[in-house]
Amino acid sequence: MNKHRTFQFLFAFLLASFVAVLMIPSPRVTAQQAAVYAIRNARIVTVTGQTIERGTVVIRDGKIAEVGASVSVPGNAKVIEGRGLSVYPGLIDSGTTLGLTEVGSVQETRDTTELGDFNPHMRALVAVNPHSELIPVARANGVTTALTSPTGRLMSGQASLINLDGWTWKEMALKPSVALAMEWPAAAAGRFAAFLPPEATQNLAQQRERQLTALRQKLDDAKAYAQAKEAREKDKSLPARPTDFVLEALIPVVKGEMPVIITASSERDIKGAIELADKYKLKLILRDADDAWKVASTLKEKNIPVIIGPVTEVPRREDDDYDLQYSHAAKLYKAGVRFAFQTSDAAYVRNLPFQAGTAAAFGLPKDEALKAVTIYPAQIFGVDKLVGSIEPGKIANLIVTDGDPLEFKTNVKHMFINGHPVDLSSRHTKLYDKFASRP
Amino acid sequence: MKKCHLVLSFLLIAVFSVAAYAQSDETLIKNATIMTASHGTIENGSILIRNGKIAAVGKNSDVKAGPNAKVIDATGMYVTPGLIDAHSHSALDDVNEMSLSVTAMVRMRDVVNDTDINIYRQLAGGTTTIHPMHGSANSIGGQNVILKLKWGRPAEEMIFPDMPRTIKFALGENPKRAGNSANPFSAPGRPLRFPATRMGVEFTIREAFVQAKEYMAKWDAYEAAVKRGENPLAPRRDLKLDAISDILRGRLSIHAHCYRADEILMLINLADELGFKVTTFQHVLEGYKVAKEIAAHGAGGSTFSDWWAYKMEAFDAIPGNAAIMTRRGIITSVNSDSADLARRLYQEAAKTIKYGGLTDEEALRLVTLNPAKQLKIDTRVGSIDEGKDADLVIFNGHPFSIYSRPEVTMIEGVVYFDRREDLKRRELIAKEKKELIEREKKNAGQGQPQQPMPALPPTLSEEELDHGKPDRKQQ
Amino acid sequence: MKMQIRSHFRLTLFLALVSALTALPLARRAETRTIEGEAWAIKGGTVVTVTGATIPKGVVVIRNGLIEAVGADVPVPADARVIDATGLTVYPGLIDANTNLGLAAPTPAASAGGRGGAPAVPALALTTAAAPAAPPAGLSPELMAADQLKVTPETFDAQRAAGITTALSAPREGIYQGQSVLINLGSDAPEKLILKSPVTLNVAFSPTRGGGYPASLMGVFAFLRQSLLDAQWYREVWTRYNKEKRGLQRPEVDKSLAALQPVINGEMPVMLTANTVREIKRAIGLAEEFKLRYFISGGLQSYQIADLLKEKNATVLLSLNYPQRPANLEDPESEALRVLRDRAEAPKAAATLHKAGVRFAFQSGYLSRPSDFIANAAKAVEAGLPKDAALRALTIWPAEIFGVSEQLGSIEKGKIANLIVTSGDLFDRRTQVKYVFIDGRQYEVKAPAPNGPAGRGGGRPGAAAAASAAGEWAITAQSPNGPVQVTLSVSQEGSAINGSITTPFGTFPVSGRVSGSEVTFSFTAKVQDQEMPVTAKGTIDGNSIKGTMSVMGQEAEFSGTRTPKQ
Repeated sequence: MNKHRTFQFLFAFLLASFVAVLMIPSPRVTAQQAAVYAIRNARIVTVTGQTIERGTVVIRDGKIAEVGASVSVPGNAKVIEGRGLSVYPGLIDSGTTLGLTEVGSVQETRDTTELGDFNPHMRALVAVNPHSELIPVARANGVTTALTSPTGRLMSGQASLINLDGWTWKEMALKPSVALAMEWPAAAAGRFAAFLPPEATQNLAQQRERQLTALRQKLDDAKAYAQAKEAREKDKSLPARPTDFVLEALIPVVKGEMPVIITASSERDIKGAIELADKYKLKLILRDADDAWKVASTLKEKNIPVIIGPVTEVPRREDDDYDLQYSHAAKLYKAGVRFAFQTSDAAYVRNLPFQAGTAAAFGLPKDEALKAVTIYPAQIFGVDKLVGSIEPGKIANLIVTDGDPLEFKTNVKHMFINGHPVDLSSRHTKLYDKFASRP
Repeated sequence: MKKCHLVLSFLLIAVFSVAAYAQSDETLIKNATIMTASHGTIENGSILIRNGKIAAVGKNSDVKAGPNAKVIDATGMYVTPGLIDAHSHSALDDVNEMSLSVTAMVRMRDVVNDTDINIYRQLAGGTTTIHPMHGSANSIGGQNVILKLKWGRPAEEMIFPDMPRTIKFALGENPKRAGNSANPFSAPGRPLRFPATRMGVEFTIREAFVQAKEYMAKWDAYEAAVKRGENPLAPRRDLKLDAISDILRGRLSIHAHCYRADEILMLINLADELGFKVTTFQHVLEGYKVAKEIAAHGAGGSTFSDWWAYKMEAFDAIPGNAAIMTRRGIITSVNSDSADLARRLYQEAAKTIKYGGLTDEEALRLVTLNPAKQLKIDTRVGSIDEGKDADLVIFNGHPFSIYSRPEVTMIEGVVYFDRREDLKRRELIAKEKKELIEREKKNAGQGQPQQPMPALPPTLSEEELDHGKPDRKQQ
Repeated sequence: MKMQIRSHFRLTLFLALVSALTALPLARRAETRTIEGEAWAIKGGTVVTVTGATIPKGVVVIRNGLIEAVGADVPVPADARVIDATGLTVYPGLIDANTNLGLAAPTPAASAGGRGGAPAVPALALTTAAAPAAPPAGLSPELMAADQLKVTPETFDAQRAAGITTALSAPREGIYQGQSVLINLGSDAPEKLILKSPVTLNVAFSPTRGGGYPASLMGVFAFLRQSLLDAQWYREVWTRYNKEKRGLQRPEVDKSLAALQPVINGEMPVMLTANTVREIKRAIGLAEEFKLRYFISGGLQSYQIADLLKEKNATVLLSLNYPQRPANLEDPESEALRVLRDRAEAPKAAATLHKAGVRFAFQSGYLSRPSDFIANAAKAVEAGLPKDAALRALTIWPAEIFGVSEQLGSIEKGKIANLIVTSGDLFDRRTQVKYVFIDGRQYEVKAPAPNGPAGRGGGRPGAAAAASAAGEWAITAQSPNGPVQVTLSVSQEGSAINGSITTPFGTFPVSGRVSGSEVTFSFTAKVQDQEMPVTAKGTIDGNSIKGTMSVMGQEAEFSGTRTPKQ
């Protein structure tokens, strides 16, 4: 217990030094992005509007300035000849740990999971390493934007939406705090369940109940804290209270301003998460929700979106349909539930299009698959005014490809992030080039 | 109720064990696009299967079936050879014998688990032959097994006919991990296991071979004495040294887990010095750096399509590895090493086209003919050629399109996976399960005896050991 | 291998000596099995002889521990104590074909040893700082269950109350678990209870804990093969030496390999633990490879290959410890249909084996409550096994299988007077055991305590009241990196303890049990998202605790003290 307090104090101290950081403005457009580009004669898949078979996209000041079949190329524009190529919005990965981890097995390179159960005050963005070798690799197949998220705790921390280009994490930030990432208490004993004595499984179940109680308690506390704070703002005679960083960070959550992304897999856990969200009026986004299809009607009714993936995971139960994960998106689509895809990793973000494509091989319409890696995540994370489709006024996150971006054989020829052309080389291409030409 | 259950069970068993098409004398697959893996692609092609073998393959007009042949119309479909996974840990009851640095005496064929659901899931992904291997905890691991995924059949029928013998070696981080007290696999109170460095790995292998040579000399002397008509006492049989002697005699092929270029070169040097051959370097993530040397040794390379960064020795892994090795003349395959990826080897092969510019046929060979060669089973499987086993996959589109999926998988002409049948069966399974659960609930009263605890928790899975990263979710 | 077995031999010999000196004080040698000349007559009951016809109103006369006479018109001897069994039924005492009853808990091996199955790793010598691991238990075929018997008057109360009068017993740890002993479940000195020793060499395919070889299932098979090959070689070496000693170097004596001689010569059967189809096939494969006589013990799925077992002329000691739905199942759907079917089919196995003509007998499979042994046999009857066959599988068939049918298994003149008198049909749920005779001596039928772990673990002698483990313990575990500090904080209810343990990797829920001064607890640690089950066993002495923790099959010593309450 004592130890726990010490930790909390330590966090508080560390956090205090980041107070300034908490106030960062959204660095969408900076002065350096003044150049004008035009991609012409390309097929333009706008996602939200009609596909333009042959047209031009003009990029100015980091944004999409004009899109259309008869748009003229400005005189000062750098021109990209798009004949035979297609322009798509940059792809969005709805769940990664990009920038927070480098080498999986080397603990020193991992910054995903802070100590303690309740870390709503931890912010992914401030730990993103913009020079991670994993970022250029992640871009290889068209991903321009990713949600990077703390993991592994009841309240893991605030997930951040980042563009995969920038000299600093400030420049990368698209939306610094998108949602509070949470993990529903794990189903007791996991794969060793059968090997534990009955009292041990019982005990684990108890532990889980305790965690859930603590979770509710924390949310109650946060509501009370917010209320007291508001009261004091109105009536300065009320006694001041010291800042509680955990509760402070939960204020937007209990006010329903900041969504919670809850990782919950089984039907029971998903229902538990929904119940919690109902009780505290939380804005819920489900993640990793394997059994979501079983409660699809509830999800539709309550307008709760689901982040699916990896689609390529082995079904958890022996008797599950062999294509359970492959066909999950199709089931949710048919039920009218909103969804988006994630890779849930850092090293394999480049496989995002294959996640969506595999879902399409098992019943999801192809255009839906594409939307679930572009406009749908933008909507779910509240940035659909900024990214996710090719429309004038949106941030110029674009890819130019020689085909369907979800296909294996397609290559990304050009990429723009914040209106800037991005180098598509990576550690992998460099090593390839070096050793392919070894004498 | 009871009767209904019985009938259902019977139905299920029937469906599970031998699938919808009984093995008639002849089956004709016609109107297919046939990707042979050995001699290009045949449009509007037919394959005639007789007694589990490919009797003929060619254009529709060139392949004639008898009047009683069962006909599968594969219009719009693609047919490939059954996919082969050169590195698997599925269908096993156990993976790692961690206690010793050399465990050449243990055999994975002793622990085949024919009820592992991953067998079926992999079949559903077009995989027909797998190479379940010992883990990578030791410099010289155990002897592996090669299985055909005949779901519903007992283990002894899954074991590849006249199975060529292979043995696992392991270099680098995994075998030295047991010597490193900082890793989560060493436990308090237990002495560290040698080795803890790559130097120690080299020594461990060298020592084993030297001992085996001395052991062989003893047996040679014994046999010579027998030949002279004497009645000598035979030397003590040592199963470990028997196995290593078999490597030296060329009866047991080495499949060596490795990552870094230096350790790959180390084993090649050791092999040249001590007179053995490495058949296949497994994982071989830095194979592209020393492809020339691997090719000169004559070894194959079986790698991942795009895994990297999960541990230090995987940080220089590149997805162009398979392509570079292929172009340097190495027999190259792409493997799964995972119950997940083994369900989509066709996608893994497709990635090499993207990252390394291989042709469709080159890519297809990475998961068919080439692993067959590495496992020395290419006389029976790995391509669609007359006389080979009718291990075939029917895809609903081009296997390298993201939008395609396998519809039918057959082994030796018997259909073991058929998506339509699978969809039909789902309801039956759910129904029987529900009934059994309900009945148990009804019967659950007091007086239930306590079950004895299972003897031991499962030992470390290879994924846990091999990748150092416990929660690796994605491909 | 040889080094391994040799060091084991020394240890075992030492242990045997110790137990011989301590367990059999001279005073107890004076005890007798029965009172000489004492006679009993059970009259008026239905006598189910098993091997002969059932006698509706019969008399069974017992004298000197044997059945002196049985029949409808047998006169009651004048000196006999008479039991009026009118309305009751007399059966031969029941036999449990595999248990670990009456065995003292195994002492953990403490001496140094090599590595089994393969030469010791020479490189191990390079890590001079590290002491060699203790040899794992369960690699010693020379271990005699008969030497480990430890019996108090109460040890077999629960078995007797359930009508079980005879059991085959052997340790249940390890691979070579030891040579079994057939005992009567009386309360005499162990040597008076023994009917036959050794009976079988018990083998289980369970990897050793503690980190030594073999630590995997395939390792177990390689170890068994190597040791059987070694036994063959040992036979050859000694045969040659015994033929002509002069001029030949004297071979080493190896107790383990010597103990395997009757096994490889087909004289002593091996009892192979195997439940699933694949386990049974593997077991048979190994036995056939080395031409061993074998029994299959367990046999959960044996019914699926009944025809194969018949063809092989195999014997199954079928467990009546039917698999059960696990307690606290979080997600019922996660259980595979395969597992549900196993549970539904288990009671039908005996009927299927019987129909196929497979020789079998029932064993309790370490059931915690002996009364379930009969209750579960009754379930087999409900599932189609003829009642007569069920009775035989509890009496004459095990007697035949173990080669004691001249002494046991039926009510016949001259056989050992192991008898039970019941209120009715043995397989009727309401039936009670009224009288029990073992070796002609009557035992009081003591109803087992409602929740008592009677018989579990085989009559641990006189379990004392549980010590208190409640409180906070500061514990130091000895890891190779140096000491690791953990805090164990538990509360206790009866013998159960619950709480949490704080380690450098985090705090985890912990639960366990206290029995006497012995405490066991377990928890699942999560290190870098890696789940690792940890089990610990220790002894409490006032406010101090010490013992061993086991992590993924490897062990660490620990000790600690209870933090005084403020």
